[in-house]
Amino acid sequence: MKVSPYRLGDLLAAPSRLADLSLREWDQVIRHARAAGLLGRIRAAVADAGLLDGIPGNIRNHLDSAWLLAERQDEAARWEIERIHSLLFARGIPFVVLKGAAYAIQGSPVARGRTFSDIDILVPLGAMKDVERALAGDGWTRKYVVPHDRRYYEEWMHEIPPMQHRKRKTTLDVHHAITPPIGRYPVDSRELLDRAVPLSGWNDLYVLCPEDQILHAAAHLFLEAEFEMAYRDMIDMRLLYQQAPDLEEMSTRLRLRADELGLAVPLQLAENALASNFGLDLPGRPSGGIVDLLFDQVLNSPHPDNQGFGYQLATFLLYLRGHHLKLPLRLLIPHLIYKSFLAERIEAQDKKSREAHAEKLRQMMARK
Amino acid sequence: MAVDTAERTVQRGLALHYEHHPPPRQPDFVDFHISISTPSVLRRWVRPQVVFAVDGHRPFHPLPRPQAYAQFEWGLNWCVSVYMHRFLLIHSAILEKGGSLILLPGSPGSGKSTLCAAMAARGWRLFSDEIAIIDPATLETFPMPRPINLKNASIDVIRRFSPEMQFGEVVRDTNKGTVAHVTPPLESVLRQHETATPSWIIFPKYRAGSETLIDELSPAQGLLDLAGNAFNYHIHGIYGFECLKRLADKVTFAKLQYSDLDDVIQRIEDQVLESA
Repeated sequence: MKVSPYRLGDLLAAPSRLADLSLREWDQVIRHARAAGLLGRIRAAVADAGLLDGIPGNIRNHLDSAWLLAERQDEAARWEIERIHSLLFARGIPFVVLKGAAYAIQGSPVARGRTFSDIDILVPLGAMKDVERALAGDGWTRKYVVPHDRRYYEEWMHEIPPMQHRKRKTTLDVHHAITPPIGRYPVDSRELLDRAVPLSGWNDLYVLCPEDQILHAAAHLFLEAEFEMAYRDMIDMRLLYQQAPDLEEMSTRLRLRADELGLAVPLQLAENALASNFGLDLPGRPSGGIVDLLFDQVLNSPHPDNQGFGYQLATFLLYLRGHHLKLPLRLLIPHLIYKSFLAERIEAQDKKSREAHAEKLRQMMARK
Repeated sequence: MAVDTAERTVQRGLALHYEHHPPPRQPDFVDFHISISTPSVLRRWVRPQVVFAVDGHRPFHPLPRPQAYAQFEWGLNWCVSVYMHRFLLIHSAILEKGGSLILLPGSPGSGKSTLCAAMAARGWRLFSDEIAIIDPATLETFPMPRPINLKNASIDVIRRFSPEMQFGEVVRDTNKGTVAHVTPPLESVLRQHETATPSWIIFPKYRAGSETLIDELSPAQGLLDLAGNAFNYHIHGIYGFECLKRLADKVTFAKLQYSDLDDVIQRIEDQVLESA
């Protein structure tokens, strides 16, 4: 039941071609799009091309289902941002909405049909404690993480452990930076906040400026260690570029901005991939490093059923690279040893002792 | 739906329960490409496990190999409930007789599957033992006649109630206890493209030794209870609520307490078919 590799990106770039697909081709497209998290995006492209009425019902079922889900998430994200805004505004804390929720709240074309699982915000480092306290007062709590991971987040990372709303189960990532401060590519958040764009109709609510949104997306994909959503992230990035009236000018501005922020490397990788795999006509760039090749491998296997040895090897090497970029070796090696060999045992013990503790509490309560 | 598996129990289960299902009308397009396989080479031999995947996505933890077929059926239900939001999906058994389509929504343990299997054995046309699939615009409801999943004591109850029903393998020690699947009646399978619209929604509750009690509910109460069993009306936003309301305006709601299957089916038929 292998799938043939299918160029979803090409179809999304020329949606009129969707009208000519046979049922057999649709079968492949739906499978690829589902695996890549792009079903809703395909639905948006079909609708924009005025092709909805010609799509057979059994295919519409899948597209419309993904679309409905995306619409609802969009609405829910706006609503959550509104709540968070009223909490933080009351305490005089400005904040920046990032990624999926930012696309939603801007009403960006990138948000159309896009599903996402959590809301990301960026706040000034000095305000982290206040933000967490304010959120806690409205039912947000940190998801439990084992002591090793808590230390990992608090001392090394650019965010605290994910928070979750007690009732609504929404996940919220509170960041104080977009890359780990002790990693290879630390970005000074003050620079980002300085250039952040206020959202019209709101007080003290921001999104990153267009260049920084692209750079954040590039840093997120090309400095990280997980690639499940890599293909979707590339499609997002292409759309972000296409928002600019002039591609060449945007690329020039991005290069300058990337130099300021220290993100020239991920930008270069992103542009190489966009030009070579996603048909974006970017000004000439040297390309072809080993990391480019590894990303080529990852981005050309969007369906799990055709992720063969080359994909496995590439993701493994990029996983090591991603971690190496996050943490200096003196921290990385103990961290990976912990994750590979000790985590399972220690976390099982941890769970046991927490359960024992909870049981003890229950007994005490019962005795009272 | 297409299934890729080397697991014998799954192949046997499919051959047994889907023997009379007609081939797909459009074989080129398949809603779900499912695979049931061993999660790793090791797990083929040491405490063997199987894992369910749909397009490479594995929504569940691997389960011990004897549960492979049950995992397939549960997995397929999962696919419908998370990938078919275009329809209003209600967690409910659903059957039809004489043009009356009734939903039996209920949480696990309410006895809805037992009642569903018993009604199917007595000539009701099975739409589903688990999910009502409703078009939100027209309330047209689509059959999905697949094996009925019975648990624990209800397996023997149905065997005694209707010895002619065909059972698949009985599997012990699953998350849900002992489970077995019952082949859907032939007529339900052959008429799987005949849709209908709901006329009754009855919330069943098995209570050992009780008499059969059917009490009509107000539309308002019925709507609230129905919303509690709807998988995805919130996904449709305000339109989802309006759709539930239209459904509530159209049907008669009742709650049902029962212990005797013959008696409860007789009473349902008297009341439901009478009013039709």
